[in-house]
Amino acid sequence: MKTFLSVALMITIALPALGGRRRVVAASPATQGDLKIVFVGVTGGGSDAMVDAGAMSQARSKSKHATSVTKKVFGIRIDSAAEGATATLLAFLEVHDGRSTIRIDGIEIGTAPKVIAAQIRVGVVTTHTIEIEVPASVSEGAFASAVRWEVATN
Amino acid sequence: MKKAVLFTIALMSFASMAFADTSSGTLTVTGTVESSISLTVESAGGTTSGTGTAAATSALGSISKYGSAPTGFTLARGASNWTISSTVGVKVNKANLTSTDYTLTAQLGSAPASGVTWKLNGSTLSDSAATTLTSTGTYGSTGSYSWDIVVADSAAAAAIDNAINFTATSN
Repeated sequence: MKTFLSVALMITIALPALGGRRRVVAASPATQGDLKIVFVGVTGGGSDAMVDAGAMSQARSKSKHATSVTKKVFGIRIDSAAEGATATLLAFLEVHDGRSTIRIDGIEIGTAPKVIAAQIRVGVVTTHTIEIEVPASVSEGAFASAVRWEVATN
Repeated sequence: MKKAVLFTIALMSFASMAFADTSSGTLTVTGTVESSISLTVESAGGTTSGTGTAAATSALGSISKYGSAPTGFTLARGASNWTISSTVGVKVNKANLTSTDYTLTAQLGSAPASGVTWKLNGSTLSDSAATTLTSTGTYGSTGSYSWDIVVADSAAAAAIDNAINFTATSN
């Protein structure tokens, strides 16, 4: 029995390594590190891009509330050799100056990651809306935040 | 035996989790906040439309010395003229601004008809220069200003149409 258990444990430990090697040898070159977020329709593109809201004021905003709101639509594509796969997309505020509220597809972003899309298809551009809201109480001047995006294959 | 099997299952679970591939990216958001103020006409005598906006309209209908006062107005008859009186409510809001008060002025859009005088807060308005209504207006609250139209008995029977242009400036 002890011999059987030892063999079972060894096989179990060895399985991931064997599996990983099989993926490398396969025709599809899918390996860890191939997964990539690509921003589309924003300045910079690639995995690190920028959205400039420009000058924001209540007078320019269409909002009737005491805030300035601007919206921009952009695209995200998840690149991976694993065609047909799906992934989960999360976002959170990596840097935030506290002068604005940022929503992605209506979801307010904070310092904790929030799921933006649970079943995003790899290789397909999905459109998202970023909404930047500045309260009337904020003093005039520049603002800046950085939204960190994380993607994991399902 | 049981412990060993559980341990094996646990190992297999951790091994499966390792297959999820992950990646990340950053979207930087920048912009500049500009200060601004807004002005709205909240109320006015007459049959008024567009209140709550920056372009309201008051229709007084036909007015005469010995007729009835227009809706929302009172009529006072003098020896050689007559006056219809009401109020105009103006609200100024601010955003992203440290200013604590504002100056409000008014000016007629065109020269008044002969024999007709337009007054706000007791001051006669003209189309050539702005008249200051207040230099210490409070943001967010509606200021009420008396509005008088004085018509001389000698004035011709004709339309008295005009526009009052309000301008708010943050102090």
